[in-house]
Amino acid sequence: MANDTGDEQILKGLLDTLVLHVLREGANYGFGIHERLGQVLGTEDAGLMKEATLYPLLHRLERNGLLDSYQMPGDRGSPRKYYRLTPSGRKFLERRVVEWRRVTALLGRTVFD
Amino acid sequence: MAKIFRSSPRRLPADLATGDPGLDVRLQELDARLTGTAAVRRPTLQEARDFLLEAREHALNAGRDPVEAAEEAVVGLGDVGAIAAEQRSRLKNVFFGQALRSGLVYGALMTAVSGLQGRYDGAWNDAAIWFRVIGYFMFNAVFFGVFFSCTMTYLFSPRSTPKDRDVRADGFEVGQGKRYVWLAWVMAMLSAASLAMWMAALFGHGPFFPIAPMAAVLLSIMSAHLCVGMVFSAMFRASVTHEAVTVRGLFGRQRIARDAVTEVRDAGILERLASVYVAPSLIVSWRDDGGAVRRSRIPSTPEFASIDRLRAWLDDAIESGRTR
Repeated sequence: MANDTGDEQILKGLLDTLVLHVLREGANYGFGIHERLGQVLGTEDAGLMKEATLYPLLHRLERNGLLDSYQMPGDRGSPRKYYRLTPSGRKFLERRVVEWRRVTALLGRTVFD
Repeated sequence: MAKIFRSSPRRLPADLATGDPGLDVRLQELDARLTGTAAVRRPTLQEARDFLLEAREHALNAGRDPVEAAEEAVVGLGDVGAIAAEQRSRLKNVFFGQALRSGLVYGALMTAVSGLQGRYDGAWNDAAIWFRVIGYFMFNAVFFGVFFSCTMTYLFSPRSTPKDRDVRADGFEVGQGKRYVWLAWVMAMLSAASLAMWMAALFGHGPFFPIAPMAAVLLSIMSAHLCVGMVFSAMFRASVTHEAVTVRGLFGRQRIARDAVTEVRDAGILERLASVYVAPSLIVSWRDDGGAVRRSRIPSTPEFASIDRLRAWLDDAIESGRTR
């Protein structure tokens, strides 16, 4: 159980970073983000997205002020919700990238050797 | 009891149905789990529907048959229970914040008005007086907090959805929908009537006489503020193009060029109290043709269609100015 919780936390942190990274490229909407994540992850790691649900993740990041959203007319005529990084989201991502670098470097020196 | 209060199952709004049974079942399931009125549930349903349709189209283009494509879209959307749980958390945050703000402001104001009317006369070391002050504050804080939270946030909270008429090829419009404009005019008339009665009471007439003069003055100021704010909110409209935003209000119009915007921020509590808008507002700083810095207020509650898009436009304008 403890292991599961730990895995979930790691997965959550990783997906947060990946979504913020995708949105660093510019504002995007739900399916667009999903598609871009699929490209970023590649076929080998595409399963990661299946273990999480994109919308709760986007809404949680928005609630925490890391993303904000606005409506624009979509291809179907109905308004489409776009997400974009806020300045705090950008800073958060930068910090996360530094942290992940430290962790992978540490694991590289210890566990992976 | 559960049987007595059990309501009939929700039906997915006809305009949100996709026509694909595989997708509609999932949307129906999501709708059943979401919290709130139809208007509150709609943005989440709309977003999920768009995702399902786009994911299905993508899968069809990739050569899947319709059933497989629908299944793939549903898997891509993920767990509807998790989506509903996150929606509940968001609503809880919004309600709590709104209730706290409204409750504290109105609780304090109504307690002050009662004080001015002499309801707490007596020795201040008498515990009964303090008990009455705290009781009065708590009652008003809870009543107004819950009232404003429920009516303004819960019943009237579709998220800035632009109407067809507001979407143009070269930009978009920001303004209130018809029902909010009506609501604002009704509120303006009610507060004007209330202002007239408090003023009459101040001069010794009307149903609220006798009243302590200071209490009548305070209530008159509150009514006037609400009345003017509602008129401004009803009249407000902004047209946004790529180059500029033109803000129209009670006293004419103002054109703010995109490259002239220097700062945008939310108004602070004191600025909001001093503002003619009852609604929270954005303060936009910009330079006019002569280079002088000017400030404009834009009401920013969710009932103003496309207000979030205007905020994004303003942020982009500032960002572009920084990179130039």
